[in-house]
Amino acid sequence: MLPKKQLTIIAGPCAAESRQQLGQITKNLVKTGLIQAVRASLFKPRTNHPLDTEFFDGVGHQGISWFIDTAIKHNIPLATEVIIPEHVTAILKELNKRQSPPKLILWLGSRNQNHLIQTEIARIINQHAPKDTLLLIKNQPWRNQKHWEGIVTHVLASGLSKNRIILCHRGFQPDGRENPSKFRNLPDFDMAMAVKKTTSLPMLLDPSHIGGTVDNVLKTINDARSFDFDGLMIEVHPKPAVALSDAKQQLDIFQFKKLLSNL
Amino acid sequence: MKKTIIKLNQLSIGISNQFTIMAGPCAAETKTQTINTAQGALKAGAHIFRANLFKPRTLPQSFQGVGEKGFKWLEKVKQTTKLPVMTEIRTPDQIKQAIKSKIDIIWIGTRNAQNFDLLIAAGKLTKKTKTPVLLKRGMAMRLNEWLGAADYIRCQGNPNVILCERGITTIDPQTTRNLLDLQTAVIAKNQSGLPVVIDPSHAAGRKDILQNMCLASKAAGLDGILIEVHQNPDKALTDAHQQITPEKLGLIIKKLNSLKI
Repeated sequence: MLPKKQLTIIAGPCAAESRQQLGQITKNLVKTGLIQAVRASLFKPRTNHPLDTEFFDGVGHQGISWFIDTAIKHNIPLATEVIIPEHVTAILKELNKRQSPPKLILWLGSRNQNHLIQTEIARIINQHAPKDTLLLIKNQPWRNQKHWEGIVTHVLASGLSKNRIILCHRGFQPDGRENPSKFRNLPDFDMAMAVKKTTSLPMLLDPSHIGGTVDNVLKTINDARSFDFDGLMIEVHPKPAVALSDAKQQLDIFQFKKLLSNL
Repeated sequence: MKKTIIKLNQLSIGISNQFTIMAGPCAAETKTQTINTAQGALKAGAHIFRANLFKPRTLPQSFQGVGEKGFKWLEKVKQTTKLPVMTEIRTPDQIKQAIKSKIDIIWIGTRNAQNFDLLIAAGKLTKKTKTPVLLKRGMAMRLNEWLGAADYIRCQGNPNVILCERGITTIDPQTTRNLLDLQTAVIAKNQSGLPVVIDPSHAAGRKDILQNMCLASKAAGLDGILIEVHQNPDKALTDAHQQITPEKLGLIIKKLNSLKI
């Protein structure tokens, strides 16, 4: 990452947990003056099955208005994951009720590799969302450049224009390559740069899902310094230790401020 | 662990002395090709006919499948061959159409293996018919993730899930398209009690080792194979390099039948 370049920073908790948690972290993040958007998932895709007692699959639809209200109050764009087309429709419906709605960044998650859904989500954004709404695409879990570029092609098939799409590298499932630091997902910075080039789209880095622990999040950012990423999507939680998901990889606000000042 | 046995006509998928052969073209292309291949598969000794109507492809420009009209072709296959039929579904609407067309098994492909909303829809929409759902393993999915995905379907009220190992991402894709993980397939069977079948076509991505992998799957104690067969593989619109003729399938089934375990 080139130190002097203006980076796009999207930060916030892995998941929205309550109106209060969202308000608190957004306030603190906006106060730093360092972020361009606040992130939080409302619908969490989870590995554990729904019969598990520890199952938390997000706050769901009730969180849409919490998040929009919070973004309006702090005058900051909001970023959230959409898993199915109905999620986009529900978010736009709530957004349309507001006088001066916040700017939206919607993202397609790593496990969401149904091309029909990818294209349909992009189509709804293209046809019904405000013109400044962006679609962020994370890479799929397995390491394959063609598939990654293919997602972009499927999204473009919806008619959504290129200047409304951003990519984000969140690492690949460890596949036998060396992993001495025990990253949760292994980055392939060279491939990320190749995809940035072939698609001519901005490429963010998600060090949280690559690292998996706070130490590894910092290490990931360090390792990526010599690559031309355009920004970061990073998980920051008011109290990481009690986070309902991804507790180990979320930074607190002090760690986040320190990290950004080092960049 | 209680075993799940899936009964379909005379078949009992999941019992120890039955090895089920699911065969058919990667994609249904025309009515004639579909019905002729089904006749060929029947003659070769297959138990279930497979064909994709909606093809998930890396690029939208590629052949996307024949779509809804293919359901009629599959109904025709059922009438003429008496073989149960199976097809991949990618949206809740396609599940509804499949049930309406009396498709015997629906399958969820590797790219959708962690599409939780689709898994839940598959469980809910098959609750009444108990239509078996074959769940392929995602190409970078760990065992707990695979079994978790199966539970998403099962907890909606349809216990009839078949797991399918189709190869995971490999460090050497020049040699084989994916890496066939027989080890995890066996562990998945032991841990879940669900039937597990192997898709050697997608694992190998080539024809020359298919027979070996089919035999290995049976020898490993697994419940069957899902294999791609095409009347004229060289002319196939998709996966041409990994589809075999019905005649070749017949030879593989003969070998399989002579393997006693």
